Amino acid sequence: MTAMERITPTDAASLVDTERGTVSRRLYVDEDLFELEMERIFTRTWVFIGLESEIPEPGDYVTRNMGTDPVIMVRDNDGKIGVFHNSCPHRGVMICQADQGHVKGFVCAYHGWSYHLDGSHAGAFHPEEFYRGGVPFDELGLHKVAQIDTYAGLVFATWNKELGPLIETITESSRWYLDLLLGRTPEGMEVLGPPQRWTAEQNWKIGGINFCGDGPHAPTLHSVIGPQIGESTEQFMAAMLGESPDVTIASGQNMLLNLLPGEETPFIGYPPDLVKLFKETLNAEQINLLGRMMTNVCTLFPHLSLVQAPVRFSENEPPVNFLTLRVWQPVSATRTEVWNWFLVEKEASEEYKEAALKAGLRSFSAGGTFDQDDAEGWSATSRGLQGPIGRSLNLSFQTVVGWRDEVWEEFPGPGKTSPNMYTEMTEFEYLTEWKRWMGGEK
Amino acid sequence: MSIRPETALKAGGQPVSDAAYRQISELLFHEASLLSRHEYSTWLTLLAPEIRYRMPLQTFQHRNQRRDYGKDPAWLDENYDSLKIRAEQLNNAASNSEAIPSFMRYFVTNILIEESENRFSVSSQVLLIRVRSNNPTPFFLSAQRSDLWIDTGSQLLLSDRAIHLDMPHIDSPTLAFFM
Repeated sequence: MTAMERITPTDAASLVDTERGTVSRRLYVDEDLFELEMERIFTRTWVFIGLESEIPEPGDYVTRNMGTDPVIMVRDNDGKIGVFHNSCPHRGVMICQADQGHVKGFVCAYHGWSYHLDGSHAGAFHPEEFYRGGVPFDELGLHKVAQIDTYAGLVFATWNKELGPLIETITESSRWYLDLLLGRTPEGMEVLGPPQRWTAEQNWKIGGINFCGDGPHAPTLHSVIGPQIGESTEQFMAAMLGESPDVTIASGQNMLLNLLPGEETPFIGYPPDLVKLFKETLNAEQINLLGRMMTNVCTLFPHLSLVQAPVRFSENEPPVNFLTLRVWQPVSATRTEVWNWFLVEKEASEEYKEAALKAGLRSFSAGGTFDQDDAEGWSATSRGLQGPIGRSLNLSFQTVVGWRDEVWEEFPGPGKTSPNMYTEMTEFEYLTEWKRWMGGEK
Repeated sequence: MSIRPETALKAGGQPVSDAAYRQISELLFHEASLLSRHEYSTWLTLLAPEIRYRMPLQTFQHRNQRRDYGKDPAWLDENYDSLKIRAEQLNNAASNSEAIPSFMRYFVTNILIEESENRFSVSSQVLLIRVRSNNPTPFFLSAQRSDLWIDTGSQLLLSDRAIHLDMPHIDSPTLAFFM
């Protein structure tokens, strides 16, 4: 019996109680649920693959995953990006085993079958008569995803032919917020290098939920490092307690904007030449938010997160903003690989780019001062839930019960905004989105 | 001509005397002992104020398909101030990552040294074994280190360290330690 047969959509839906704000702990440890997630979520949603700026030239490729399926992202001779299942149509051998590279075409190491950059079959090692017409080579190109689309240089793909175009998922409303991070200058962002990859001992959803807007963990788990590397303890605390909107941008898309109170827009951590470009690119309401922004965290269901903050690791240097983009790559119910990129404005000076990279490395990365404290908290979650009693209990998101009817009506952006960073509303919205995909609503 | 390609990078100098070899080797063992005991405030006293401490990021690449992109990708890129913040964080019981200290053991070997005008290029290989409270399985990490130590007259100080890990994808949730 497959996981699909063992767990019906109704069973899966019952694990998230939207009335009471509780969630079964099985979501963090159950291997059957994990298997089902790979089917019901990762073969059907838009999945983030990488950045256009990672493969600028024809023949450039990187290897990635969609759920547990390996894929290749490559630029073809027409400059078009393709995403293919990373296995030979002949006997299933992984075609590209490197992390990244440059090729004229792909050749399988096992029997020498080869493929053009657009995935079509190029040749077999032996002459054609050897195969006696029985092998339909024109049908045996690399297996392609159903759709590819981009937003702000981010490449998404899906195996789902029925799914609407990306603009129906990352909508104009989504972009109103995401542009604060990814589309705030005319040329946009570029990648600062290949992703860091490290293993986290946790379910893949835990990090995504945290990045939706786990405000309450910041003053506890990050109590030592948070105030130390913020612009100042006073500003850090003011932003914590201030008017920090917790925004459900759209279904499964959430952002917490940690803002300085008041109307002043100091643009902490940006050089003036970039601020000028922001003002040319964004509207007045967006500029007001960006100018007051301290920390911004965001998750797009299922597994893409972003975080930005101005930090300083020396009293002699000004604060600098970093922007980290990461995926929580599922490996098993209790193992996740974190893939972590750093982005910066294309127009920024070389000096600022280097400073932004260092700021990111020191904050949100495998060696990041914030990630270290998070990682042990999340590992401890897996340990806490390993037994049968642990699985039978619930997780509490019950703070939402007291906040779900409170909407910040005057907040200038689209979506549904809760009035502070302690509501847990965005985290629970992520789990509600999980329920929609797993429970058969989507 | 150099028979020591790993060390010829920074000082570009001469082989050292037996006494200097022994002194610097013992310094590296002393440093390893401090790190394994989480004695980070003492470890900081071995660092020069201008230190650059870097752990480059490597990737798995096919010999015939090699392509790099981006700006010197790294796991860590630190100066004295940021190392000090990290050290204080790791020693603070209110910080979660090492509130229950990991058990750590450093094996330092294959030491090669060259000298040029009181500057010592020191190459060494390190095997770190770390056991965290959240995972009883030991985590192994090996690396080749390229150091520059400067003799100030009173003390040898570490002024540059590049740590080349043998693990492009790190099989651990944190890098909450020094190498």
